[in-house]
Amino acid sequence: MSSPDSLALSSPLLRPERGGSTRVRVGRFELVLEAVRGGHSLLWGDGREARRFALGLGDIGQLSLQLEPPAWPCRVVVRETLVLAPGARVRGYVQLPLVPVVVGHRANGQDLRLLELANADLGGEWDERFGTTFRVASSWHVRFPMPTGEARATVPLTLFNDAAEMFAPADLPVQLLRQDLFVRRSSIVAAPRRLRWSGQSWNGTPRRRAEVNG
Amino acid sequence: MKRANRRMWSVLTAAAVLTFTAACDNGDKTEQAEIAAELRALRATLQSASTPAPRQTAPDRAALVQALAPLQEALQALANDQRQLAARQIGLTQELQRWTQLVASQATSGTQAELQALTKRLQGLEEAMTAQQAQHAEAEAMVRKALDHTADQLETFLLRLEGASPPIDGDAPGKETPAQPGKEQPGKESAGDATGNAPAAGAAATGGDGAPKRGATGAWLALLLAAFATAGWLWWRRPSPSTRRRLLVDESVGMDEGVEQIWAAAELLGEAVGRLRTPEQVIEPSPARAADESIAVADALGLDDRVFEDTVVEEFVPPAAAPGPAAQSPAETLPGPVASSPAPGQHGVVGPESALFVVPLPFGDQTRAVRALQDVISRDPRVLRRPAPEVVVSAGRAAVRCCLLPTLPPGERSHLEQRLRDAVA
Repeated sequence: MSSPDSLALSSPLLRPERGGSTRVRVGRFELVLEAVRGGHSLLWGDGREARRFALGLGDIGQLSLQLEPPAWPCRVVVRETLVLAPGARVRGYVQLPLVPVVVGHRANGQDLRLLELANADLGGEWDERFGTTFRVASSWHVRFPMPTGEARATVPLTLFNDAAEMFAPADLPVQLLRQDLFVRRSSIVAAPRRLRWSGQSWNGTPRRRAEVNG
Repeated sequence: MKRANRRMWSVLTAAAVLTFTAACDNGDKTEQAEIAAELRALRATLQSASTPAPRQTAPDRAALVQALAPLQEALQALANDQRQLAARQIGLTQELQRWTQLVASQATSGTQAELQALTKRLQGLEEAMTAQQAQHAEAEAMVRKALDHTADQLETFLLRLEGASPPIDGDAPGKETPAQPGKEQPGKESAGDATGNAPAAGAAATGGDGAPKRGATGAWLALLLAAFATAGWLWWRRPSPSTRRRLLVDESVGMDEGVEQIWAAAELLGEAVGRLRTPEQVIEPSPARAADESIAVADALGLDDRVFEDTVVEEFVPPAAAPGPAAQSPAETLPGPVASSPAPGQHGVVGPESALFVVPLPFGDQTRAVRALQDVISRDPRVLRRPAPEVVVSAGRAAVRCCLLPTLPPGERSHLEQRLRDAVA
């Protein structure tokens, strides 16, 4: 039985007949696609602000709204204070905002990313050492969080402190790829991650550099 | 007081002497007058001596009071302590009474059944413990009895072995002992008769019945010595405890199957006993166990093993160009498109995509316009929050310098600029 707050990685956004409209709601995001004279109009709102896009779809048959992980690595700042004793571990869940993307499906099977709707919960940062990252605030859930309908991915994390000193991480490096996301328990869940603190840096990343570059 | 009495006695004595002399000497009146004058003088002296006496006691009382003042303070402190102790005792007595009432009320309420059940349970456990102790004692007695029986059997076996061996003791037949007068030695009669005082030499020389018996004794003695020597050599060559197990494993190839099973069972039993004897230790998380936990999480979420293996964490080597900070550097291990396209001289990371928007400010309150610009630019997700955007006002225009997300389409960039313009319009 599907919950009204259940999330899907991809929601179909049917092309309306001329003069008609279709509506899709994912969490607080809402999209209204209207077929107007000479094209389509897409109205997007996240509850705080709204934007209107004018689309020329051409031979694109269908549209879909896909929830994709942030394009850049995330530094998850946990609202609670995590403290790990030497050799200790802690397991929990964090939640990362997902980015709604409007994808057009062509008749030949090709998919086109039409629009990437920015998520205000993702704050981009840049510095000389780490490059571009998203700073994300999340609670440390000790149990699997209940689905709220928000476009967020639940990431199971297991943190290890391999160092000989106490460790209170300032943030947690997490990067998600699209193939890491799955729909479980009416939520979007990422594959479990393990992060090891060696005393100076986090050892272990969800992905190898080559995979990210590829 | 003593001094006053002494003075009074001396005055009375003097008066008596004067009276006596006066009585004895009926002289003229002048003498009587002198005596009377002296008596008056003595009376005056007595009066003067009796009046300062109370004056002298007053300083003594004050000194006594002063000397007793510390004692008085101590007594007062002691009395205070006594009063406090009495108050505490009263409080404790009242508290004890309250606790007693509380326990009594609880015992009388619904917990009485639980208490009875717990008491019964405790009695049952004690009985079980007693029974176990009896069983242990019985087992120990049985083991001790078996050991005694085994020792007896071994002793019997050894005695039997000694009995089967050639006689080497003094009572054995053919034993050549020095002649004992008055004791009959049947096996020695003929030899003694033949050789007189040298039976052994005679026996050896004659080669009679004593020669084969002595040869058998020597053979048994040699055999016994050889057995002892073999045992000693084996004891000396015995393996150390550390190598016993290895030797056991090596030698188990040629062992009987039953012996192997017995040794394996003994080994398992030893391990179990050792595990029971060793105190419980904190099991440190091992990587394998951690992996199992993560797999368990994946299983609980319905993610199959293939999914987890696909995202297994691998050791990541930080970029060589990035300096190793002493503090936490979480994003150092973050791979990303920016880090993968290094620019020379910037630790392998290219700079952000900066943008400069020049927004004409309207006439009037420019402060409000600048605040509106800052509000828009701080909330727009396309603008990086670090480096912090800057708004510089000059000549009626605001220059907004900020960094944008990489790979931002030109339409989004233009849209952002237009938002800024609309904010101050």
